[in-house]
Amino acid sequence: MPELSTEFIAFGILTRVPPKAVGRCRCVCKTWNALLSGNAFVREHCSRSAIPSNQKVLVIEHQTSSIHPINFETHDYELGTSVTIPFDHRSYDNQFNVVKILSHLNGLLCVCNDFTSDLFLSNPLTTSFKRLPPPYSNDFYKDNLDAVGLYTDTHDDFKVLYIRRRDATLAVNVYSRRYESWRNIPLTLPAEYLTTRFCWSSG
Amino acid sequence: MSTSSSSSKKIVLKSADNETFEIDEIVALESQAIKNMIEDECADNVIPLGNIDSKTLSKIIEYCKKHAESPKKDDNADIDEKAVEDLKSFDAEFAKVDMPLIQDILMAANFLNIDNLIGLMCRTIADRIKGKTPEEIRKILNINKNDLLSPEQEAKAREENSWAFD
Repeated sequence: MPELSTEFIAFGILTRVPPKAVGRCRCVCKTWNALLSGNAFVREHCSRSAIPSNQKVLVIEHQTSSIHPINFETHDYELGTSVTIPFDHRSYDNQFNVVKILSHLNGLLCVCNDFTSDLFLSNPLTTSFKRLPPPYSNDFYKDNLDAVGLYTDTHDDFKVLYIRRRDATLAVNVYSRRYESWRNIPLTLPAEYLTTRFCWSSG
Repeated sequence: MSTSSSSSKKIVLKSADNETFEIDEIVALESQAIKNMIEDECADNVIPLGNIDSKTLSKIIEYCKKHAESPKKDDNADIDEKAVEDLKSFDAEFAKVDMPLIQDILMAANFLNIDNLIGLMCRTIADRIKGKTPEEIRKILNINKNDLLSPEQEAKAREENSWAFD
């Protein structure tokens, strides 16, 4: 019997190990190191991670933040491990967490610091983060007017969609993680979408 | 050898070491590859499996028998939970074998195209390596020595993935 092919091991088996084990598997050999960092593997791993037993809850409280596994039998979450938020996330007097999760996709979060209105992309597992440049000079994310969503495009580029509403005008910007920059998207919408009666929800 | 009723159609599988296994056709149909052969009428009375030894093949037949007997999920939405639990504990017991055999079963299941069994074996291997260090994983899966990272490359990989080592 021939041996299992490396591709088969990577896509059949390693797509089923938890994210932390993927990190260690990247240090096993050259082939795994290359394969496990590629988009195809990441996509496959994310699709398998979407099953309920792999889902976790990130809880950000006043003082602490922690990650918990979910127990689907008791509909509760179990004892978790505390996590450090690696970027500026405290109020001016350093008393409270002031971060708000606006959107999430494949384990990445888009987070807003309520105090400075800075936007971050953050990976709570690896604690890596990226502070997004503001899409507008002299203007910041406003909770009740703006909305943020995440998606990956057909080239596996990770995108942030930012809808901004000011004085009955609407602007749409898309941030590309690959190019690390914002791009304005022309958009015409029916007038009623511009009024505050119409709510944009982040997601 | 199968002891079930003589009325159902039989298929004979022959392993690499020339052992023959007579099984009900319904059991053999768990393998998509054999199913295709039978449907395309290119299966003789005896199907030779020149790359699967008898130890592996008998395990695979054990699995296919159990799964062929069990009610299928898509047949009936509300099949009793006991059957599901029963199959689950069978799978868990089935997977309690050593690593070389698991890999042989996985390769054979891949060749015979038995989806559920491929999934079960992949999950089993994944479970066995998930809490392990890179050194332990290399041993478990017998990673080719020629494919190892240089000390500098490994140090760099560990640095980049340091979050995975605490």
